Amino acid sequence: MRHSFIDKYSDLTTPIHALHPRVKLLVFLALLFYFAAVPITWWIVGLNVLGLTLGTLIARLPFRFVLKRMMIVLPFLVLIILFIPLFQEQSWTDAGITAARAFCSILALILFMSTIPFRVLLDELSRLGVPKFVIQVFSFIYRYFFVLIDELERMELASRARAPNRSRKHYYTALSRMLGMLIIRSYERSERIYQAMQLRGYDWEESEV
Amino acid sequence: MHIPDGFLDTKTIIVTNLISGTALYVAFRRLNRAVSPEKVPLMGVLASFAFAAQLLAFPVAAGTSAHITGAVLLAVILGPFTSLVLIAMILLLQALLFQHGGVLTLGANLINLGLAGSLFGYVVYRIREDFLMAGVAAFLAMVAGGVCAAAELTISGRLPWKAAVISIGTAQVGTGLVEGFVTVSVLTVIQHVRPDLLELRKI
Repeated sequence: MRHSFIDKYSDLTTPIHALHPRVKLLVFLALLFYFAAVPITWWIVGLNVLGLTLGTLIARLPFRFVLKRMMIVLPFLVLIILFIPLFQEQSWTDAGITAARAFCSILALILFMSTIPFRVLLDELSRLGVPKFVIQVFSFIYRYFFVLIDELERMELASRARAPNRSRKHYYTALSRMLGMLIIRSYERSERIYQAMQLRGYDWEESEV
Repeated sequence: MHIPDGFLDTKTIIVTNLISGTALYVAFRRLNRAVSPEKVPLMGVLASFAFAAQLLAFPVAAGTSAHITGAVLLAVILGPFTSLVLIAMILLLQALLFQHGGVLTLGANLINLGLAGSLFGYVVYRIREDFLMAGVAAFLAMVAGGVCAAAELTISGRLPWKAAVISIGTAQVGTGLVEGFVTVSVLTVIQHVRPDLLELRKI
């Protein structure tokens, strides 16, 4: 089965993709702090959005992809907007500025993650002094996440094939059992992986990710 | 409740990251003292498990769905500090890969899920160590996490306290019920199939 939500666009060749990963990381973090902390007015917001949009254009990220990813902040915005008429403490301007902060931050996040391959990011973090243990576990997640999703999908397909029309109660039980089996299979898989790694001469002290 | 970037103000970001950072530091110290090489694949694969499990949507009501966090589940199987570290990593990955949550709000989200789930949930579970209590702990952890999220949004001046607690609290009661149910059933399955997995050393 195909999963392409990680690194879908991170191997393109555009000026933004070509930037040094450390530069990109630092600029990205600086931008996030800026969006969170600096008091913003409308025309600054406009400038930011313009700049970030230009960034996504230069990086040749599809418009729909970016837009779809941005929608994840909507529930929180709705929550805030919903309560404005009920409570007088908040104003529309506050909500607007919060929305601007949220959209700018998430746009920066999408731009950053879509222009840097995950592997390169891990290498860079490791060079910046993030403990090896953390980097290794991340690499494992990156590798086995897809395997486990496939496994989960196979289990769900099998269970639906066995019992197509299930009541909600049964569906719940089935899903929970599936998760239980998945955790056991994951554990057993990790045992096998460790044995295979040892067999190939894995050494924790010297290992490279 | 994964709070995205932009919804918390500077002081809340700093304070929540300090709290979570300290908790993570303590957890790492504990893990480092006990860590052995075979823990790397185990933690990597179990973190992927929790990551994959979070993609599974449980229908709740009126078209809404909840996904589980597994914080209490991991804490019961692997111990509270291991669970906390795993949840922190999952949160970071979710923020980076799916834009689910945020980068500067990681500290706040770790309080809502990790400190409330892995640590507070585990403390509740320890009152009486059986599966039912684990379910109750998972439920309480989700509600506690919701209250924390409401507090963070209120302190940031984004929502009035009452509105935040009522709306997020209600949502978390529903999610908490699912989380509790799943926690109990997963533990039961493990008990039936591989009971030795419940006897691992808990850190």
